[in-house]
Amino acid sequence: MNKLGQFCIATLCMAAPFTATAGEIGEIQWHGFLTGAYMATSGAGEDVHYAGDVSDNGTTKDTRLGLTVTTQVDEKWRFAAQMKAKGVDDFQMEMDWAYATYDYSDGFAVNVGEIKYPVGLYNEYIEVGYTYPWIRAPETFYNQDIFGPNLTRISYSGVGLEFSSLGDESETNLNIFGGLLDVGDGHVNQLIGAKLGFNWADILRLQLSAATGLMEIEAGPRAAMNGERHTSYAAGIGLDMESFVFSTEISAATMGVDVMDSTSGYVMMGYRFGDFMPHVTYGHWDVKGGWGQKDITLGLRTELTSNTALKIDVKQVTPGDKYNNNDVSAGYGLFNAKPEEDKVLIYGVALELVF
Amino acid sequence: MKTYVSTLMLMVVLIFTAAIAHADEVVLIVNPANTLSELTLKDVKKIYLGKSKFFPGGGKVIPADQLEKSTVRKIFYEVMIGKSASRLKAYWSKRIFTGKGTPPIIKKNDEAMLAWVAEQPLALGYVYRKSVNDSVKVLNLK
Repeated sequence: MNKLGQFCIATLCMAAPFTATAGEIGEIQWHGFLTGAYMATSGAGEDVHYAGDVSDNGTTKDTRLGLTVTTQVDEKWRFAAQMKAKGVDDFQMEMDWAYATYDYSDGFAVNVGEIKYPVGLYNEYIEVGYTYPWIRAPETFYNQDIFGPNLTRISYSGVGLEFSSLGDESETNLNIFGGLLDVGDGHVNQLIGAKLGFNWADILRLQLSAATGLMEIEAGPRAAMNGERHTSYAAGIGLDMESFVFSTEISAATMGVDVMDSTSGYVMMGYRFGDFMPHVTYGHWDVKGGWGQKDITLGLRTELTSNTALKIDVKQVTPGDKYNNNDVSAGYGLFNAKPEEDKVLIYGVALELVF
Repeated sequence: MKTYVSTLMLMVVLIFTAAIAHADEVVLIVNPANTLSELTLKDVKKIYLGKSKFFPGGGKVIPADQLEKSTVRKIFYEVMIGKSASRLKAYWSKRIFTGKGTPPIIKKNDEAMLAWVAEQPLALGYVYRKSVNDSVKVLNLK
């Protein structure tokens, strides 16, 4: 959370008096989400971790609580901010994002602050597990570890211009954004990107995006990329009919170091039988250096109430077989070291709640 | 005679059904100061789904809902918006947790809705037609 985001949330708190249920001009609304998750690997071996802290010992570190606060300050200005506490951060409450929006009209709005990163069909609500079928959105596209595909982040600091055109049942959006991206061990400076989205009746979603920036990483395993340009392209299709659910996204990314160039994506299909939705997902992450991965996930989402869902996922991961020794990255797929088995099972259960 | 009785019974049933249907009719209401006289179904959907923040004439709009389990709300969303409760929850979760919008504010019944709309110049609400009084203006649906 940078100073711009802190300024936005401070302004929000001063701008409007608290009420629990209102939503009129000058009043604040609170909403929240909770994920209780357990995940474990089978066949990874001792001290081998998958995409963070998932190991044979199991982990609850995907468990998280979030609170979102929004207010309409006047007829044109509104503020929104999200705080979250995650198991992986020992449940320390921290600001996720905070930004102000000026609604010039239904066709044009300007966002300023620490803004949700708009690339990807699911990224803008990636922390809210209730909104998608899996326990984790496909890691071959959405993983944010330094070893991952490096396509998405939670938020960026800067300005976003949103142009919208509303049809009878459709909505077309163009989001042009620019600023600074925090990548954990450094920054992507001079970030500029664009996302073109189309939504038809919330049934069909199409998305194209491109983003580029200059990396500033002075230490750590990615220091070789310091000063290099990071560029990514992504395309996605989402289909959500009454019963049939489908989504797919593909991407290509370059990071100025030849062996790090990668393509990635996934395809998911699901079918709703009343409150139950079984689904299957195939994901791939191909890195020029050879240490990507392929995975297949079988999952079941069950609606317990209108705001609570239970999920069970089983994933089989086949990591790439080339270990990278040039200190740019290291790992087999999204594992931190070579797993014992060629194919590793990852299983998990999660309870998702929004309120 | 049998045909006559049957016809009479059918007419009674139709009249009774029509009366019930009229009593359960849900209408859109705004503050009397609002110059609008009608809205399209498309406009209503855009406003209640948070995609449009303005009346067609350009003025800011503040839409209001009734309680989630109320019949009037169920009728309104089935007839005018076309979304079930769970799909609506999923829809709003995506907008709320990206800061893109919040669902309409809640009024607990027709009486509370009427009182609020009568006081709020930017208001848009819905109530049963039978509850309407002079403190609000009913919008025609195009």
